[in-house]
Amino acid sequence: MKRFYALAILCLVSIAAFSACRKFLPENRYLTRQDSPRRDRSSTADALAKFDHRAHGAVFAEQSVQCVDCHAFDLKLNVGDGDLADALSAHGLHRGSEACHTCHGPPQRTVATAPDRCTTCHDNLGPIMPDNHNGAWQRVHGSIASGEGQSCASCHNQTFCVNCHQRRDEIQTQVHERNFRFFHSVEARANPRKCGVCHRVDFCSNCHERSRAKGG
Amino acid sequence: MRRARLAWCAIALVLGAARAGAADLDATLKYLSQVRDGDLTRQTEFPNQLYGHLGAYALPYESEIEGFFRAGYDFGLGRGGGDLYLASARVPGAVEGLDLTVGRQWLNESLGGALVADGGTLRVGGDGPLQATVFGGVPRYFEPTYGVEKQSQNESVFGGSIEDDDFGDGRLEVGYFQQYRKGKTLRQLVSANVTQEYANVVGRPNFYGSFAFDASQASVDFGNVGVNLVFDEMNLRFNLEGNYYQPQDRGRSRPEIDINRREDGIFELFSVSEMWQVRTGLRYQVNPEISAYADYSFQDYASVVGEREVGHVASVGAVWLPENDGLELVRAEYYVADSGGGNVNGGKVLYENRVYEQLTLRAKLDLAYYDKATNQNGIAFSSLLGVAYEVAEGVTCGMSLEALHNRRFDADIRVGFGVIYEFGRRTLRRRAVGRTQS
Repeated sequence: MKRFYALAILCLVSIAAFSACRKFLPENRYLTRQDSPRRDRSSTADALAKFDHRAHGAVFAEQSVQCVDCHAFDLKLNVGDGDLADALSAHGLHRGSEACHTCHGPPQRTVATAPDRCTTCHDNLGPIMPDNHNGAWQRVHGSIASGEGQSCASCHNQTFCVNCHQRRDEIQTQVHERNFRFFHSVEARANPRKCGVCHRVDFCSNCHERSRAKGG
Repeated sequence: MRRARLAWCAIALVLGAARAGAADLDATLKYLSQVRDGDLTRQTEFPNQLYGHLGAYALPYESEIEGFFRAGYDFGLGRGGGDLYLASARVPGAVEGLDLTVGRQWLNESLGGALVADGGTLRVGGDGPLQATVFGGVPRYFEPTYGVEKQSQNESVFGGSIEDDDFGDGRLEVGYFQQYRKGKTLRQLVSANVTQEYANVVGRPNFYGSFAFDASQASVDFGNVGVNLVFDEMNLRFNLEGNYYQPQDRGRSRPEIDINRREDGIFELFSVSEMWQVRTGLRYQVNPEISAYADYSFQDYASVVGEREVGHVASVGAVWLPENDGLELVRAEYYVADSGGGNVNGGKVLYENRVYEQLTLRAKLDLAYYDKATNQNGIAFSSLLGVAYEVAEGVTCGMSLEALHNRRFDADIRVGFGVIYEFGRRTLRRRAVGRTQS
């Protein structure tokens, strides 16, 4: 029992120490990147940074995409300075996501061959997360996902679903906390349908029959 | 052995594709290990698990290959095993308007449930608003976790759906799902699923509903109606939904005495008639750093002993993101459940710190008091302290210490180790973003 209390105290002390270090040791690289897209959780700058004009050249020509379709001006920049041209070019983009989403992503899509997965361009999915991915989303997502699987697939791959629903992990806690097994019957009898989303009857029988056989 | 061979085949397939000029690779290999006292075996257990996700994208015809597996061995108990969760190939661009996926895949179609199946899915319709899907396969289950496999898996499913993405202010899908077991029809679902979103109305309501009729049992299998509301000015999000379910056989057989029904959903164990459910949740953003949430669900069904069972499950909590930069997270939650099985009251706290670039710290505390119908009551306490360090680009090593106090152990200490190796698309992207930052 002493070891148990010692570790619980160690947890609390570690939390306090790491939190305090943030205040007293602000020299670490993360905190000095004041303007990085990673710091700003509401930014989609990561997607813009990934855009490669040259890679799009051929498809723009093929689809007759003009400069004014994306930029608020109609002239070619030939300043002899690549960085300056990039900065001017980005500055002149139409506001919002229109410039990209005219081709990429339903329902505005006009170029059928443009990849439509969110992760094609966005690493930081926080700012573009749908409104319903909040609050009780983890508990109710099945109602939406069962009918709109294709919508889910625009950001998530199959592994994302399987990782919770099918992957069995006896080392890390994934869906249920460690304590859950000691009172799982309370939730199971409250909502037995919910267990069946991931588990079959065999999952119950396997442990309960074993403990019955041992007289437990 | 067969599964191990399948896993190696999947790896070879992906790596072969990469050598053949795949433009985009994405892979994560995760090794996890733990030393503990087994509460069922009463022996020292030393499980070692390797999880692997391998994907190759942007192959010819925009094809994608995806694999996901587990391979493990417990050196304490002297036994091991593995699972091949996914091994599929998707070809969306070989023929215009056709999108084909074959192999072991995630199948969540026509309200038939969330399955992994060996089979195929074909979507027709390309990027137009009207699309059709046909699918079929053999479901695969990956339980039990703690024993030898003894399930019969002599099942097959097939079905299809037609989807209109331009239906009113949303979409409509009608579908069919048939499931066989040992040549007998288990389910024949005729289903419909509709969503409607009104972006210009207060609360931007998003209504959704599903309905499935089981023709083989001549009964309603499932019904669902819900709404999501977003009040931006009040920083409030709200969800309310009602559900109705019926067991597949409406109580005509008892699974615990029929070994051939072990694959059934757990619902069949508890209920002989319909189940009603209402659930609601809201999230309120106090300020950019702090948000609060609350969830509640109510269930009512007739149990196998012929009595009505009522259950309540609820939680309320808060999330604090110091400085709103995502580098620190504190989550505190109180949870409660009450049913014919007893009641539980508990609270948990999670803290995550990613302030230091290569270092991640995680701490969790969970304390619960339970009083069960079986006259078992007590306190369960669990705590975890974990540290992970990125030793090289894409390679992260971690260690965790868990202390548990429960009915089985007065003090249960578990030590865990882990190595995660990521390579390919995700790592390259992070590198690219890093370049733009510095």
